[in-house]
Amino acid sequence: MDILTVRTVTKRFGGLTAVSDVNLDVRDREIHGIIGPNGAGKTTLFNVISGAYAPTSGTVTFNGRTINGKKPHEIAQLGLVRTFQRNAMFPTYSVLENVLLARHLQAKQGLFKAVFASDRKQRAKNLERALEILEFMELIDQKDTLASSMAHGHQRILGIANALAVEPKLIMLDEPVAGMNPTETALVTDHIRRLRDDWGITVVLVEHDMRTVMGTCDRITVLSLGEKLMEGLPGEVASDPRVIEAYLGSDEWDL
Amino acid sequence: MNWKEPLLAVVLLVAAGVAPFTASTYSVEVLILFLINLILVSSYRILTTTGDWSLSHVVMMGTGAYATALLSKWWDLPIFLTVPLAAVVAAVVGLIVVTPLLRTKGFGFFIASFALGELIRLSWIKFRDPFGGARGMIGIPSGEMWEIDFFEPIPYYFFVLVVAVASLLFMYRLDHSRIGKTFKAIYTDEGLAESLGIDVQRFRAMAFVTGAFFAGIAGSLLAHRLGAIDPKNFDVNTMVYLIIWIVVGGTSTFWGPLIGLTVMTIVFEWARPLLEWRPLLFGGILIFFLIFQPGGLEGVFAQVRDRLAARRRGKADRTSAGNQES
Ligand SMILES: Nc1ncnc2c1ncn2[C@@H]1O[C@H](COP(=O)(O)OP(=O)(O)O)[C@@H](O)[C@H]1O
Ligand SMILES: [Mg+2]
Repeated sequence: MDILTVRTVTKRFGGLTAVSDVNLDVRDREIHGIIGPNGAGKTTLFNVISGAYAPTSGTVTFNGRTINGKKPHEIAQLGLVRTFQRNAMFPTYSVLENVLLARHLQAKQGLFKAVFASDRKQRAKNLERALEILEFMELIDQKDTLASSMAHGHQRILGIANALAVEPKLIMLDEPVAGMNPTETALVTDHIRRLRDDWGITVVLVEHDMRTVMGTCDRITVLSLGEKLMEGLPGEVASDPRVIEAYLGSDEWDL
Repeated sequence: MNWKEPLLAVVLLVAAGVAPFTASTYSVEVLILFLINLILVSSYRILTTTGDWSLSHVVMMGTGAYATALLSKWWDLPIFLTVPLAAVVAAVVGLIVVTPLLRTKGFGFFIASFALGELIRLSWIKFRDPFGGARGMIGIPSGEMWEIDFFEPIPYYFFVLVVAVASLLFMYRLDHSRIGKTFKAIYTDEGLAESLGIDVQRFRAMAFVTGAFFAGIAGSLLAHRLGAIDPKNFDVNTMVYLIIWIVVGGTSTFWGPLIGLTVMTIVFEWARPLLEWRPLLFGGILIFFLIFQPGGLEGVFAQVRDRLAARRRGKADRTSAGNQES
């Protein structure tokens, strides 16, 4: 079953075609990698899927619904949540306050209800769920730490914890291990796998770091110059002559 | 919930109940203006929690004042209707003003809000009928209730006190509700809030309109007291005072703007003999705070409290050495 389908999506910026006629099928409960050299259009495709950009043409379907043309917050509410290449946390709040805030943002009530009704029950539920998420992400020991004073790797994990507060079916991560040392990278990829294994969440992983992608993803889509080069299992991708050719001369890729 | 805030509120309420009987008539007038300004400054803070520093907020207050003047003159409505209706009019005007403003952010918002505010203010000057032009509107009734004439300062003081307490209570609850938290999340990181499912524009509009509503209440109470209003009452000078109050107090807690207004009202009254030097003094204070204490007095209070707590903790550690379990 496909949870996310991208059909012939094109995104142009003026004369520049950043994403050209791309198809993508993400199956339920898989970790799907999107790779390609710098400027391949990964972030642009990501932004089209999450609603930050409207595609020039093509459609995006999530969980049986067409989502292209919807706003980012609407897509998040449908259960497709993204993280950013930068840190996705509220720096002046503690770890627990971060996830609690992310939970509070989920409540749908009007002004008067928010001001006049007692929400003690809801607050207790939110606290319980926030602690569960922190337990799952192994951040519970740091729950009172200020987010801005955490190690970089843990900040990225907190970003994922915040996304989990939305109760997503699919999480899209944009270069989650960028700038990390091998220990931190292993920690983050381990958590990404557990999202799928323990909570059944589908993951779309946009990544620069080849080793991470090969070791973590179930299937991989390769982009180059805005076009889809191929799609396949990590082993197939790594040995495909087209992929190797696309990255020849690109120093950032060491296959 | 902590017990300090309710206790403080009770103490303040008792003081507010006793104050007018110990004060001169002039001082009661000052207190009435102070209470009206409490509503105004607190309503402005709602906007600033989303990061939208509007320069049109006193024009929203003016909208409430003009609405009050018109409602009293045309239909002779009693004060318990003019005040809420004026607030609704200000909220509706606020919604109209904020709709185009939502396309802007930060400095662009600041400037555009000024332009739109001036547009409204200039229309009060331009359209003599019904707004009275540059001279404004006169003969606004003081209002009365249960046959008590609000021309008398003390009865009106208590009327304003009740409205102010109700308004502040609402705004306090709002600040601590999930909506207040959402406003702050938008200020901290708009993109992140959006990615977590927040309709940023809707909440920014909600903050602006709610702020305009309470500014409208303040304007209505002011109009009834002054009896006459003109466009100058709501010009950029007044806006600068509002900004001074809120900068001096700080905006990160509900209490900051209230502290700022209180201190600056005292300074203002104390500096009365200085006459035309007062703007200079106030400008100096504004610049001092912007440079040396950007967190406002509220920040000073927090620092003092943290230091005291640290000292107390130090003492406790020394006395309880031996039984660290607790
Ligand atoms: N907002 C934009 N306006 C104009 N060009 C853009 C914009 N965003 C990306 N591009 C261009 O589109 C191409 C793809 O960029 P991007 O999606 O960021 O690639 P990647 O994430 O794979 O490195 C690049 O040539 C980039 O310069
Ligand atoms: Mg990128």
